[in-house]
Amino acid sequence: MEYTAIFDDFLSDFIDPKKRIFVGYLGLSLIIAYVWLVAVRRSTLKTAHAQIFNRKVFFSKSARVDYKLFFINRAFSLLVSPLLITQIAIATFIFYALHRQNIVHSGQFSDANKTFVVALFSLSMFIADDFTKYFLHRWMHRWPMLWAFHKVHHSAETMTPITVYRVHPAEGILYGLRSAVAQGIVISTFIFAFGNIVDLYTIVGVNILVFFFHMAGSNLRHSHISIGYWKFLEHVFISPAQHQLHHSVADEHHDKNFGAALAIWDWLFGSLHLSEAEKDITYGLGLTESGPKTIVDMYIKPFQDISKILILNIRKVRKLLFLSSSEKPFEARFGPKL
Amino acid sequence: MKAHASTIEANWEQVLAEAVFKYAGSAYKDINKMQEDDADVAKAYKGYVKHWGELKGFSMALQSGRNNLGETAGTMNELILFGPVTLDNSYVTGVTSSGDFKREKRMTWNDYQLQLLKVQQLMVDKFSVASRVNDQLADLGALAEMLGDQSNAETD
Repeated sequence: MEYTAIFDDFLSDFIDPKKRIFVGYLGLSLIIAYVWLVAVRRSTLKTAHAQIFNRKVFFSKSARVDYKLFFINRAFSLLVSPLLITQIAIATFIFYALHRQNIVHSGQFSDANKTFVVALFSLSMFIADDFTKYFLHRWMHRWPMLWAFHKVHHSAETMTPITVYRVHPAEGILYGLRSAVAQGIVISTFIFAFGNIVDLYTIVGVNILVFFFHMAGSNLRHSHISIGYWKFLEHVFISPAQHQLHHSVADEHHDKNFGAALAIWDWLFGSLHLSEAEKDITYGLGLTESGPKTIVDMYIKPFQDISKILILNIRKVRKLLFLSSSEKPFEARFGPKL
Repeated sequence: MKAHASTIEANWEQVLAEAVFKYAGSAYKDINKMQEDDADVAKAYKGYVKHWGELKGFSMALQSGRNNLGETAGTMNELILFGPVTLDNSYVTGVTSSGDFKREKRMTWNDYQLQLLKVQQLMVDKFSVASRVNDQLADLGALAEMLGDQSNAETD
């Protein structure tokens, strides 16, 4: 009984519409992939089938590591989640804080049109979530200590929908906290301003916009099926091909397309790269980056890398301090020799 | 009868704490009503004062029982105040030597609503209130539940 419960817990993401790998979304992604290959790429159904279920992808060494990490990380998540600060704690804190200002009072806009408020809340929640994802993702690439963790995700050399779980637990914690902060801010602000008319438009219990994001094939982002959108649309929404490009080892694709659902943030902050049709992409870290080689490495190496970065920085600071006093060249300290 | 008396005695404090929780929420809602654009302020104020009276009454009963509530009683009294915050935002702070109420201080409605929220939290923390009528944080909890803890924790 206990084992069954644990096993159910591990696989619960497949039957939870709030999760990307919900079977319904996976099925829809499959249909989209078939339609794309047959109707747009003019492949035969047989070729499309062979391409989608490519054994070299799904049974590659990289994919097999992803499957193992999925189970290990689920265990980490079950242990760590109860210890993390929740969105309700953050929402309560902000709700209290909002009572300390006197510009707007509690429930000031509670007579607003309910349909409008629910739509605005659903949209705000989606945008706040996507915006914070963009920035955290960007920082994961730009800050060496965060990159040490995020490198685990980018060490994937083939991509399947399960690659979304190829992350270091520390990164999972950061994303969980980000989610709690984003939700906490939006929920408390809306309840304070609009009172109890605030609600969420949902389909199968999921924010309607998140539902459409997943319905549009969010699982294809981590796959070998390269679907690009029209150029104008790729300025608004990140296509699967754009995200695959984000995983490319090519220099020109480096630090591009950090967005999750919306490409607007990349467009605004200069990291947008449109998809490139028919271009073969090699995924991974490339030759210049040393990535984790084993499962144990996936968990340990980021800490080793971080300690190296810290030691290097300490040395730099010491060198600076050292040079600034007695070790400065003679000329710097006393002027030119006579 | 003795069995009933024993049940009442065992749950008396809990029942009073739940009433304090409920009327703190009622007073909070009444303040919102008074501030609505098209509010009948006189009617809303009457409701607010009535609910505040009930809040104060139950809080007095709670601290006059068998158990000495100690610091909890002090905190509760500071949060609820001696009298309700009135329409000019003044409130009773004490009594003069001639027996008149002192009303020198003022408090904004937002500040007093925050104190009422803290009263509700105090009842939950100290008496584990289970029946939470007029819970002013319930909507926050309901929305958070709807969105889910880790629903958006997926990375890319």
